[in-house]
Amino acid sequence: MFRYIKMDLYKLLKSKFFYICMIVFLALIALSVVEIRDIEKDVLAGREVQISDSDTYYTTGIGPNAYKVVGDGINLKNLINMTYGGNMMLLMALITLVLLLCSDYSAGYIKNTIVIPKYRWYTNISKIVSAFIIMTAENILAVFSYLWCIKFYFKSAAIGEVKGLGQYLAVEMILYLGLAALFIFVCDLTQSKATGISLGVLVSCQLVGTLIMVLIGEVFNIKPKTTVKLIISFVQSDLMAGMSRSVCKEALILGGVALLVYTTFANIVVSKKDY
Amino acid sequence: MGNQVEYVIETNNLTKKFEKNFKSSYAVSSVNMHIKKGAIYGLIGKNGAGKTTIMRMIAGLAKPTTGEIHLFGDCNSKNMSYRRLGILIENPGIFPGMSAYDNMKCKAICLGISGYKEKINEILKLVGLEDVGKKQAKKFSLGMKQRLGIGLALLGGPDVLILDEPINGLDPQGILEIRELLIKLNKEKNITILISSHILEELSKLVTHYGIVKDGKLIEEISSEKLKEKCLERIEVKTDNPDKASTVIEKAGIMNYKVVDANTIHIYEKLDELKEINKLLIKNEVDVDSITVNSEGLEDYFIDITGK
Repeated sequence: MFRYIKMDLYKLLKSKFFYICMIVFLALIALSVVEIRDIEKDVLAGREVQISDSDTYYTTGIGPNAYKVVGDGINLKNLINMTYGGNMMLLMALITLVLLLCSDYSAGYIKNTIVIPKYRWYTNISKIVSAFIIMTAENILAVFSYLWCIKFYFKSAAIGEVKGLGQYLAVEMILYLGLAALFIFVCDLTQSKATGISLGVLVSCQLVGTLIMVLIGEVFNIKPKTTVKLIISFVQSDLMAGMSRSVCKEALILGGVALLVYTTFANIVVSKKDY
Repeated sequence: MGNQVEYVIETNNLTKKFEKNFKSSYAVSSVNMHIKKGAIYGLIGKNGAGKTTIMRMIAGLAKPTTGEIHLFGDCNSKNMSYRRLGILIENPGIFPGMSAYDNMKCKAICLGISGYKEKINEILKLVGLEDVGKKQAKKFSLGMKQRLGIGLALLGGPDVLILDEPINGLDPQGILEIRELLIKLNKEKNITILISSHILEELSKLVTHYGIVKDGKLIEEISSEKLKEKCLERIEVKTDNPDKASTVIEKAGIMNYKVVDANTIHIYEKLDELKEINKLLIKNEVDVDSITVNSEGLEDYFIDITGK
């Protein structure tokens, strides 16, 4: 299994899309920083900025979050929190994962390697590890980018509580891995880049979550208050709003269950499928 | 230890059923195949006959609906037997954005080959891709891609090569090189080869055994020696009454003959007594349209056996 993981990492580092996604991710961070800096300037100048003005600051899709970040006091955790809140980190990570996964299928390379490991499902575990590495690379990129901005760019920023940041990133990672398992399952099933990327975009903009919530509400007459606890992207938003003990617990349980269930489904698909 | 396996690949009632729109169809039906160690086994059949499906099942890429596959005498697919197979099925599976070396390195890492650099370079040289450098595989010609596919199959020192249409898209020089390479691998490294191709003429220069597939069934397994015997020179009698002709032939003591169709009889003995046989048939009031001595090639034999 370790050989398969090693191979996936080699593929990841050799492929352009990994670097392109990281560059796009970095560019989005830069845009968000410019946006926050503008708001910060207004706040420091004593100008009152209304939330309703958020349309003016909507370049990166993180406009409202940018207000919150400035309002709460700019620090490392808030800035990173914002990148998750805007879902851009998630989107980039998921697209990288989908491209990594589906390149095996579209190129037909899977035929060369699927029979090498003792069990076919080793390939899925390898992809989960790859997802973890992609997310870690993004985390490192985000932390260092924002640290640099805090030191040289913002006027009123602080590093903030490091332990809290660590906990936040760990819980986010579990949620992300749960979502990554879903994508691995979908990619194994459809073997289609287009399906994977489309799903990535829809999940990131919470459209899938909203649809599921509405459907569950209509069919089972369950209140949205309960349903949101079952949808990763909504729990992630809750997490962004505040790291309370109960939200953390919910996020860990949901992420863990999603990781386990979707990985099991993906393993069944890979074991049964013909290549 | 030292227990020699007679067949490196053996299938027992191998069947693959596909379900589509609640209708099931058999792509492969009860195939019993026997491939001896060191053989070059040519799988021949029309398009859609089931050759690729058989190969995919043997290679572990597809699961049989029923039946068993014994690889190296072992029928447990969970063991590591598949690692001893080198496969090139349908199109070569290569990453278009990577170079030939990087494509090979990916598989070498997966196989856990130590000192892969030398091995990769050795194989690239063997398949004639030693000079491609960092050129991306997407810029390769079809023949180059095919060679890289064979190179990937050779990585890890397989005991058996499974090659589905490996000479597709190759120019005559490329076909010759691949043929020589396969013969060399078979003779020098004792690699057993299962190969399919539509170019029967080319296949006949390579293979030691044939498996003829029709409508998902293996209708005949035959060694190239036996096939040569079958394709030997014969007297071909064209007549509108083969039943009467065969009675006359038998009375003349000829037993090695075959009624091929409603108008043709093949006689495999007494080839130098053409005139006498002709006279005998005419004497017994059998209308002979033509009587000639000729021989059959692999293509004719294949068409005869699978039907036009």
